[in-house]
Amino acid sequence: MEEVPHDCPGADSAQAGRGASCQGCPNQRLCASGAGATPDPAIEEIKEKMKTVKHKILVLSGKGGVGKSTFSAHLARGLAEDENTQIALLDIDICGPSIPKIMGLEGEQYVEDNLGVMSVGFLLSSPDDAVIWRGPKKNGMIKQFLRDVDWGEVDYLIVDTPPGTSDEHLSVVQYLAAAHIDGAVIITTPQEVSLQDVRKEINFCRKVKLPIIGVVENMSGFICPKCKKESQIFPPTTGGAELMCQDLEVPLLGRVPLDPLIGKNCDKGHSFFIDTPDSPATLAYRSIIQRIQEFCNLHQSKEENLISS
Amino acid sequence: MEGAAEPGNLAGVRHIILVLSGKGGVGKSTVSTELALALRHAGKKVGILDVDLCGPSIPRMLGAQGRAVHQCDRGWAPVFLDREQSISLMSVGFLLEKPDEAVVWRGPKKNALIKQFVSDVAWGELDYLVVDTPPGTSDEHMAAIEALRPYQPLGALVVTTPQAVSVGDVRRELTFCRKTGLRVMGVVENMSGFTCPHCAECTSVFSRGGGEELAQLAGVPFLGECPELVPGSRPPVPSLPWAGLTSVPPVPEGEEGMGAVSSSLLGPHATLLRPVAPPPTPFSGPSWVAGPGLLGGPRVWRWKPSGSASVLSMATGGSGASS
Repeated sequence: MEEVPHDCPGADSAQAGRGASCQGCPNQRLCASGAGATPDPAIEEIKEKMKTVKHKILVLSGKGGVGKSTFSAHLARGLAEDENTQIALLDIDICGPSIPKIMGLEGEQYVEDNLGVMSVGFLLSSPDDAVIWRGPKKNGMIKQFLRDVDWGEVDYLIVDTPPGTSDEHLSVVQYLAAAHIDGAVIITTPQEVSLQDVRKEINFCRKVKLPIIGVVENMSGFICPKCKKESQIFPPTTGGAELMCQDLEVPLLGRVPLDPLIGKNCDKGHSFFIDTPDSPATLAYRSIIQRIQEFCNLHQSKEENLISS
Repeated sequence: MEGAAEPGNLAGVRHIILVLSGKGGVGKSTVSTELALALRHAGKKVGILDVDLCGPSIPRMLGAQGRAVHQCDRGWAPVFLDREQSISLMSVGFLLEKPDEAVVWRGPKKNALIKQFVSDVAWGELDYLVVDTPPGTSDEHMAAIEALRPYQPLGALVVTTPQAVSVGDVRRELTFCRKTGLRVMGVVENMSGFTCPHCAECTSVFSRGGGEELAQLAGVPFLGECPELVPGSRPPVPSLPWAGLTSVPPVPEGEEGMGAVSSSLLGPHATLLRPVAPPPTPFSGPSWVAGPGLLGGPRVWRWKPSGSASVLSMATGGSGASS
């Protein structure tokens, strides 16, 4: 992909090809002709590709480090426990692709027969390789992931995203616009520093008309392994996710406590469900996964009713 | 790109430090804020530039939400925390009409604002400008480095948590620093452990060992571990009144806490770290140094000795650097 000028107004903006910063750009003529304003043909191509994908779920958070990748991995593993369900996990965090490590993959893309993963991490030859790309190039990669990967028959496509409300998020919503996303699961931790970013993410979802399946409050309470008493590492001084969900009228799907074994299992690429089946965190994950499945099934039967009526 | 600093709004800034991490949620904003407060406590004039446009945390951390940015003859006036103007801030958080408004911008627009933050904010005379960044290695980072390059930043502090998943991302940030010619001053490991308030047992909630491993991989100083705050010691930060120097959160005294990192940056007697005796078991014994934390509660820090000279002398090409 060619470099765009630093002050590029955007190929689909009104100033495309006409701004002062467009001078000298190789795409200037193309933008000025209004070609940027026409919908990207890839959107239709992706819609075709996604016909074999039943449910698409985005995992979002305005805030970094709240556990999006951890949750995405557990959601994928949890859904894949049903051997008759085909699960795909797509990692569009181009700069910080954590999913291969969390899933214990070193380049092979299938965790189980029915659980496949795609990430830019597989395309990097060394763990030190940095992906230093500007927005347009990242968008191109996401387009390729959606359009050029042979997804096949998939029951659930889970898309793990980086923190923020920027290129990656706009692109994935834009490219999947015609293919229809079931909804977004938004992850937060209890403290206000996270919630203030997550409120922005909820507003982003509303702006782009992305349905919100619900909010998961992660790292919610810590049980000391020695004395077994609970304390809050990230205190919910402003009411935590519960109050935020009430204020913004979004469902709270559940709270996952902070179990140190989660981090250790992610580091080793093991399944937390298999290694600690009785942890309160496992039970919390399972309950949340069930609620997500119920949302997707309800939505599917609504659509089928609409089509048949 | 010209090497000499052009006269501009950063001409009066003596040292620029970036706080980076490939990984989100490791504590970049917390470390930036604490470093700035510690430097201010040491009598320096400090600015904090928050280039995290999607998740601007700095205003809230310093109780400055809702403050407005005003124009002055040299451009935008930064937001001052106190009458003495010893700490100044700039963040997109001050430019939003509503605090929950999402900044949903693609790269080029983010680049443009960051350039403006560097060129149009009238920072004035500052000893240190701490630049807090979002996670990743993308538009914001490239824009910030390109805009700051003529002013020759001192370098970057890289923050990680102990777990391998974090180290996996932060390694890529180190490559980014290498490729962009930004010196890595050192690695700070945050959230190293959590002390139960009931029984004082310290647990490694996010695994162990990542910070040291990263520092070794990169051949840079490991500046130390920061465990979690003792819970209950973190009251909500009230919005600061204009007259509120006294309501600026207390900072660690002397060599404790982030004071150790700041003193490693200051003066001819700067040493990287205070030597500590190796602890009999992790997180206990004489190596712990307690001091008032960012928000008034006790904060417990453990710093490892290093054979290298001060960070400042490294940055200026002095001898003894282990990297």
